[in-house]
Amino acid sequence: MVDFHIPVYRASPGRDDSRVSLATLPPPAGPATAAPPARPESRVWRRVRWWIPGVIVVLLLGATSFLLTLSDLHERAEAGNQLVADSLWVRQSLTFQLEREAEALQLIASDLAAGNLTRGALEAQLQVFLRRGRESLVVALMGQGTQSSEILARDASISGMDPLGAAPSATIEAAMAKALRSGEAVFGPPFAAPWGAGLVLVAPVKGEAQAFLVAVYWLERALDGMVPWSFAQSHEVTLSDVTGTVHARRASAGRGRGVYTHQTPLEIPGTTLVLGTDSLRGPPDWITNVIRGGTVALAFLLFWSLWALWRDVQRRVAAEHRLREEVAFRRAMGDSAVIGLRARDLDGRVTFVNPAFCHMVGLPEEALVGHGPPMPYWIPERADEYQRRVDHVLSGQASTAPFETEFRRAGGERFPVVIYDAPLRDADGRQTGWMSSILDATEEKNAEERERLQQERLQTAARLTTMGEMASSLAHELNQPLGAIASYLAGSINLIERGGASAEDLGPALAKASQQAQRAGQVIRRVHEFVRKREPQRVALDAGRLLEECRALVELQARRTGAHISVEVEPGLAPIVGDAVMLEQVILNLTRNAIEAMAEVDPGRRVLAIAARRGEAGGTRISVRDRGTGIPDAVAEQLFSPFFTTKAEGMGMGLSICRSIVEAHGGKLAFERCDLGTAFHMQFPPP
Amino acid sequence: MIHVVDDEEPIRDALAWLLRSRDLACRTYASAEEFLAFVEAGGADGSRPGALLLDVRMGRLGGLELFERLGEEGRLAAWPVIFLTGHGDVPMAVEALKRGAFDFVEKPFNDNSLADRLIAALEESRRRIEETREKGLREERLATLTAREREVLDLIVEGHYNKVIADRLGIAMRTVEVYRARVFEKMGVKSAVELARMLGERGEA
Repeated sequence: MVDFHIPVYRASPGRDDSRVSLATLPPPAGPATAAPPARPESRVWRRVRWWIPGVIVVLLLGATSFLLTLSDLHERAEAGNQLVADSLWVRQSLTFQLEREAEALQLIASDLAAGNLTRGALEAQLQVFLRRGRESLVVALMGQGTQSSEILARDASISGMDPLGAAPSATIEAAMAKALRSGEAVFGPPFAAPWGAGLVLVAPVKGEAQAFLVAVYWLERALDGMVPWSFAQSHEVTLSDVTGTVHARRASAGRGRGVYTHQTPLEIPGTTLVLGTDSLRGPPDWITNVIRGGTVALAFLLFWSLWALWRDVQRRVAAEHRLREEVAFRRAMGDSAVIGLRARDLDGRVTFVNPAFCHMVGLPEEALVGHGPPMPYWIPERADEYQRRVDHVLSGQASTAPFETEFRRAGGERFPVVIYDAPLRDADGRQTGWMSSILDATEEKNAEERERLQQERLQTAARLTTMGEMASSLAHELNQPLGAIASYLAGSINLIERGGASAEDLGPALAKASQQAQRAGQVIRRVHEFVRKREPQRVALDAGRLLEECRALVELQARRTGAHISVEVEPGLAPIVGDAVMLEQVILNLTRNAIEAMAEVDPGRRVLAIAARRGEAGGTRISVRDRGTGIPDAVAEQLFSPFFTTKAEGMGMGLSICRSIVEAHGGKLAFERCDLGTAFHMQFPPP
Repeated sequence: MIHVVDDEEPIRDALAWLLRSRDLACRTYASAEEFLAFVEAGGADGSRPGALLLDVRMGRLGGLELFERLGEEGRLAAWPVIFLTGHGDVPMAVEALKRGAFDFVEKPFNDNSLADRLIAALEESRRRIEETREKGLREERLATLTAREREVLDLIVEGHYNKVIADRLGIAMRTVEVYRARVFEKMGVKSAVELARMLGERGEA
């Protein structure tokens, strides 16, 4: 069987070797990566290989059947041979006993013929003869031709039977004739009697008158007595004559099965009987059948299990195929994603990164997978922040809310990222780590920044345009009357120079010039009125609240450089009387300058401190302190001059206006050079 | 006559006063439309010297548009145009100069220098009218020449001697001399040099 090594993503904590990531998986062995449909022989092989077990099963079945048949035949032969041996032994035994009976009777007959037997002794001997061979029922002395018969001894157990009478006289006579000829005791052929089958033994008594001792045997008894019990238990034994007529049968344990039979001639003096044996053993069918059936059943079972296995394999192959596709799909997803993907185990060690993430941080996958915190892409001075975040995430409290921070590329460049975390669970639903999507926000930030700059530029442009338009319309408005005045006056002068100019000539022109001068004055007054509308409102303001309202905007300003902001408000401060909007403008102007002053310094140094404290004379002092590059002497002298700027895009109005506003509130704006950077102080008087 | 087109009444009035103080006749118009209506009505005589002083910025029809319209129609070509421009209109005025405007004056203007420019414009106008007149006379005289006389004239202007002209045209020297005398007479010149200058001016015009 193929070893189905299925690559499964696991992120188990602890041991290094247990970590497997999709990205780091070695190409899985065997079918997992085998170039899919490729090899043509594999298809043929796939079709054929399922035939082989089938063929083997068929062959096995055939071989088993053959063996079974063989063993059956062998067993039959064995049993047959055994039967023949047993039969022969039984025949031997029967022949021997019957011959001995014949001899015994012949001996008695000889004694009788010799005349040295009294009647009593004869009868006693015959009684012994009867007792010894229980199969003989009666012994009679008969003359030639059976006319006279005298029963000398009879078996006591068979009272009420006439064994001698049952024997056909022809049989007896034939036997007598045979006995006379041989001079020995002979048996006659068996005969049927009401009680069974009988056999006569005729022994000639040589002497005066031809007489014979005739013993009648009960064949059944002969079988009972002469056939060993053990043999009889497993065989049916029959005695029949040569014609095949069965005369006696011993089937004490039941009839034979006709499977193992044997017929053997039983030659006894005077006649020949046929001894038939028929084993009670049936053919060894049942065991064969059981084995055969079992084999077939097993074969079917094997077939079924093969089929089941085949189906299972098919399913596994299909599942594996789906899994491979799924894995490939996921991998392609991971590879093609522009979002960085990173998985961590519960110890915070990276278990998986996708190419986008590697590209983002500029490190190869090998350098990231297996790495625990602190990570190589962390910014050293922000390590604490990351560590807190990692602990927070790993403690399971992470939300799916995005987390914004900065990472460092291998080249040292910093870039903003947005991280989304989601728990990573195994098949049992147990959490094994965290999966994070990391979005490189550089573009976004850049776009944001560009947008902001664009907006600022637009605003500046708009301001300039507005100012330009205002100036232009002001110039136009003033040009007209001034131009007219100049013309009237120039004309008048011309006339005067030429001489002869009368007051009537000049009067209207000068009056018109005066009118135009008034018009110019009106224009100026209108501008003044327009400006006067911007008078500040004056209300009591809480310094803490003022800073709080600015804070969101300050944070927005600080986002680009990642400056840290601290706001400190001393309790119980005197309120500032003034215009909130204008003061906010001042604060934002100062914070903006401060943040820009720190743009070039080390990120760790970028701290913007805003504080509201008790100032001189019970007033309130708001300070904006940066840790930037400081103010050079040349700049410091002109810092508050209008139209003085160090910025390429500045108008140079910021600090000048700030100072005007603060002074309009009765306060002072001053700056102080610190060890690190600059502080601007706004000192407001108490209300 | 100077025609002042400006939508600002005080300016018009003050300019009129100024120009009168320099003995310059002027007429004022409150808009370009008003001036066009005056032209349509036949009030403007292009054969007499004149100049236009146009404000660049005016209500519906600005000074530049008016200038362009007059240029397209070929009217009042003899009257130079001076533009009055405000703040920021200088590039526009430069463009107008390229298209044939006489000059521009930026507001606020130095009044007497404006008057000087206008006097120069009138002078230019006179020159243009005279030139137009001379050109008309020359064309008139050329038209009286016969085809043969014209051929002879062309060869004289090219600077050939009578003998060469006779060879070229396949006529007798004597005949050439007769044609020559007749061309000189018809064109109202006394020498070949004078004739060449006259026709040279034509070429320049």
